[in-house]
Amino acid sequence: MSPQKKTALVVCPGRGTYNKSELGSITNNANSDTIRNFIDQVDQVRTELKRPTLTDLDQAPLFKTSLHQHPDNAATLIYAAGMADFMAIDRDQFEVIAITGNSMGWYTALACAGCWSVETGTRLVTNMAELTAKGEGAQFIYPLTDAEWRPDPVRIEQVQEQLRKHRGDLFMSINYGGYAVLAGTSAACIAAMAELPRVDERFPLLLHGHAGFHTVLMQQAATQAQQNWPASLFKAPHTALVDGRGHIWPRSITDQPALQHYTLDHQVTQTYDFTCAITTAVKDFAPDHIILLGPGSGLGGAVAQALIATAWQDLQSKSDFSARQQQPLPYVLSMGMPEQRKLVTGSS
Amino acid sequence: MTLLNQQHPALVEILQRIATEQLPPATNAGGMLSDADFFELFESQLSSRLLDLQSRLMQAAGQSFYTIGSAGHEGNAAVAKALRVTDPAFLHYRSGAFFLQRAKQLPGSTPIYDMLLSFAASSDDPIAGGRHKVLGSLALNIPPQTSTIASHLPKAMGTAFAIGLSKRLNHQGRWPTDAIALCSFGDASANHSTAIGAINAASWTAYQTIPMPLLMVCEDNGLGISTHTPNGWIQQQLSQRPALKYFQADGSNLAETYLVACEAADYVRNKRKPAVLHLRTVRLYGHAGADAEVSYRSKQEIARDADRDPLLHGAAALLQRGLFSAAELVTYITEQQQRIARVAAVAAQRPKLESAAAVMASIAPEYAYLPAPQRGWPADKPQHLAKMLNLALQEAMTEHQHIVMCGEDIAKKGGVYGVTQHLFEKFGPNRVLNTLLDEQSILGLAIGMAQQGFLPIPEIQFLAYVHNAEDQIRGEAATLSFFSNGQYRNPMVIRIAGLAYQRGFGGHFHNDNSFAVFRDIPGVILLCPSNGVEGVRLVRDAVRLAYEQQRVVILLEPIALYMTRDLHQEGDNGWLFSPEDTQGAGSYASEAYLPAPYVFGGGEQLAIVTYGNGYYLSRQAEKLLAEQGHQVRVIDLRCLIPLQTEALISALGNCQKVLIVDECRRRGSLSEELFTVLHEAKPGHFNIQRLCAEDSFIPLGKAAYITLPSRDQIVAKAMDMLGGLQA
Repeated sequence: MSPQKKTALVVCPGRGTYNKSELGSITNNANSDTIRNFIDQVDQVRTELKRPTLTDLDQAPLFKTSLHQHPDNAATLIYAAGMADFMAIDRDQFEVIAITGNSMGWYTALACAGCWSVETGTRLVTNMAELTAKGEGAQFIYPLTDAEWRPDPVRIEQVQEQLRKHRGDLFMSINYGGYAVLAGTSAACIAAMAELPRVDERFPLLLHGHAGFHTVLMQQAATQAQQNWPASLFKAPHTALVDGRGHIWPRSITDQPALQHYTLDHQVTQTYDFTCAITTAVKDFAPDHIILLGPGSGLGGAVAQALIATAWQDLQSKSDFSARQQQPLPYVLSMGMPEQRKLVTGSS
Repeated sequence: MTLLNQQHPALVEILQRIATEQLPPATNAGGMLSDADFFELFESQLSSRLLDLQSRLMQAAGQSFYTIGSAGHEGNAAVAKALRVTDPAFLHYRSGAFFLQRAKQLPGSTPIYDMLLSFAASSDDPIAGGRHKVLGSLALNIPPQTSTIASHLPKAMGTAFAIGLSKRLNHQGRWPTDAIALCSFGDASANHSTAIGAINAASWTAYQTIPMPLLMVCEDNGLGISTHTPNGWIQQQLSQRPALKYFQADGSNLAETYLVACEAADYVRNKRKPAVLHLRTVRLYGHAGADAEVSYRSKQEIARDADRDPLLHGAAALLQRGLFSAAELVTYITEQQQRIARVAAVAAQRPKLESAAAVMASIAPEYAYLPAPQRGWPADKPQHLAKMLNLALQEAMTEHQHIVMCGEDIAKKGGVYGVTQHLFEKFGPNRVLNTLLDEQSILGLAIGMAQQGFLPIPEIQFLAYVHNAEDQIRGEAATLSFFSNGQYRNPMVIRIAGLAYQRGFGGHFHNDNSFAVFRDIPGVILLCPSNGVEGVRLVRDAVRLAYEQQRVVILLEPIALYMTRDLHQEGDNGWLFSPEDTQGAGSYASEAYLPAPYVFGGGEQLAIVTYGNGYYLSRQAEKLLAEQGHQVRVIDLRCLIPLQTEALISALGNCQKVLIVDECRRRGSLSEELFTVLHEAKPGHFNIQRLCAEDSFIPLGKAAYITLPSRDQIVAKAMDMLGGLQA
């Protein structure tokens, strides 16, 4: 590594991040042959699968919920947007030392780390979206912090109370920075949402089209997925990975059955601890920067909240974080934000 | 100062050897480990080595404060892999690779950052809060050790026993009932009496088929700083003990170490019997950073050890397996070194402990106060001290199902003085344990039981016997909260029969009149009852302080007062009190959380400040002084450590003349501290005199009393002080 290169942790976003404003972003940003070839490969697989291609979806004149948020279409867009962004990182400027992701962003992370070929990645992401969408239940999101992104013990307790009350039916689906993503049976979700106090007019917010992700309700999908995608398809990552438990998978040599089992079982049926993934990665890798892949820029808040929760580098609040970001090359770089994207890709 | 671009010379040499493939034969290339498992262990070994070397760079830059490392011992990573994360591990200081490997069993662990915070003595260090470089973690079930002399072995033995006890008592302990306890130590420490004692206690217990799931790993690098361990000594010493199974492995061979460690762990787990794993290791780069081993070892010896470097053996195996080319491995190691250097740079900037208050915050952190239970008095009539202690202990054991008593002769015999009579019959052999005759093991057992969640009440039969085991209190029990930032605690009540004045029995060892050994240990509490009423009150206080405030409490019981009934003359029953009249016409000093002094009488001409036997004699003296018209008060301190200075001053009232009667020696006794604190609190206000025991050991027969304060000496001294006063 040349001394002037900056080290970076790369973070891949999860579901719900490709929305109207992201329409066209993947293909429009495809400014290298590598990325264009990647898009072609994805399109080819999607054609073979008789599904709308990535290009068709991304270049559609209008964002249609029924089309773009259809589970396997949305998953393909999110996975491909992440991969394309990963390819766009200026490697003369940044050395990627670890990769992590949120929820289905774990699949993108594996793909970025070279665990799968583009074909396998595309097929698997499509298939996992189908399998999990068939699952029962619902998912909703609720804030756990105050306006300054500091953990709010009252809200945390209110959520814990709901989890106790609906034990076995309601689960912590994702520890998502300053938010709890809860999932479970539809009845439990409806009941818990009715009991939680309303916050900011929006929360608790039901995530439409989502099932009981990262809960035991996904067990059938997990079992099927393990039959569909054998361990031999999971190659060792070329860059260290940090999973949704905060476990580090070192580069170069991996226990393939363990990686398959985590990805297609534990990760599918148990809590995804994104907060822990971020805090583990910053502590045990100490990157100079955190690069957030697209689509979108929604991940920034959750990442900052995870850092604040552990007081990383004395970050205590949203104001601290905003102040820390005020520098020519901010600590957190979101590729969904045009100005910061330029810093990451080195493009003018 | 940035260290990001520095490589330790030892790393440069390792990289050169790998790059040029000048590596030892890949003897451990095969074996039962898969590529992924082998690489996982290698990665732990590598991180441990890189952390050691980074620590030395940091030390040179003034950023790290401890350089005793794990280099050459990294085979212990394979031992960690053979165990469960829920197996408590008491590790010695060369166990970095064990720690890193165990952390892999608990996702979300950040061992690299945590260890570097520890090297940097940062208050962010999650285990010791910057107080010491220790290997420890609450989540990883690694209680921190600072021991360099195997003083952690007795508590590991105690923990193993306690795990079995939890099962027998259906007790929900910190560690599951199928866990095994592990401790590691070096070959030099294996000679230490503490280690020998713990090994003996484990063996003694297992010999009687009592469960003792303890795996003792002796990491034998052949050196104790500069002193060689004789060839074959560890094997001879550890392989021939009753009921103790011996395993051995070459610590430079990962596959062999893992295989043997699995076998040993399975044996201990399934048979619930102790085992020794003798791991042959090497020590690289000297004892510590400042140790120039070339001054006492030949170059050939040092080179021979370097060839056994487990990291080079691991590297050779990775190449042999075709997992890396030499160049790829060099790149990988360099990346990891840079990763650790980056994390180190962050850790070095984290805050340090800045004030005495911050340093001391974990010595005795306060816990929630619990409401006092409503209790009746345990006796229907006044009784002597021994009987009242016995009743109070029965009450405590009934109230707290997790109290376990242990000591020499305390079970069926009921103790040498009958204080534990009937407890064995009432609470059974699992809660009232006769131990072997070894105070280190008794206290180690108590520490282990406490960490497992019991509330132990160990007994030391005579005060003089505690001295061979004091480090178990001073270096271990008292420090656990301090070095774990209050995360691990070992609350207990240590009962010690002691002090002098025994009639017709004795000699020094049964009449020891010094407890100075406890007086400077931060956080320890020592209570001393002088009669039956105080026996009940102070047992209740001791148990409350241990249970509620998680403290290590010593109850020093004056043997000579155990059976004392009379005060002034035979048959007057003057030393039998009921709770209503407490100790006679007196009161307790102003309310304090720790027991406050008891004040007998309201005289203002003179206050006698005393405790234990001194209080008894002073009460005799007070009567004689009163008969001569002198108005004297007698103050029973009750809580001797820490001294309750404010409450004492309140108890002194308007008295300016203070006579300290201390049955312990003039030099080193509590009297010195009393004199000092009273003077410091009110300079020039008090006229203070001391009456103490001579600086002597206690002889036999009637001579036993002549070096100790007597009633008549107290009267004489008081009269002398009161000389100016007309009766």
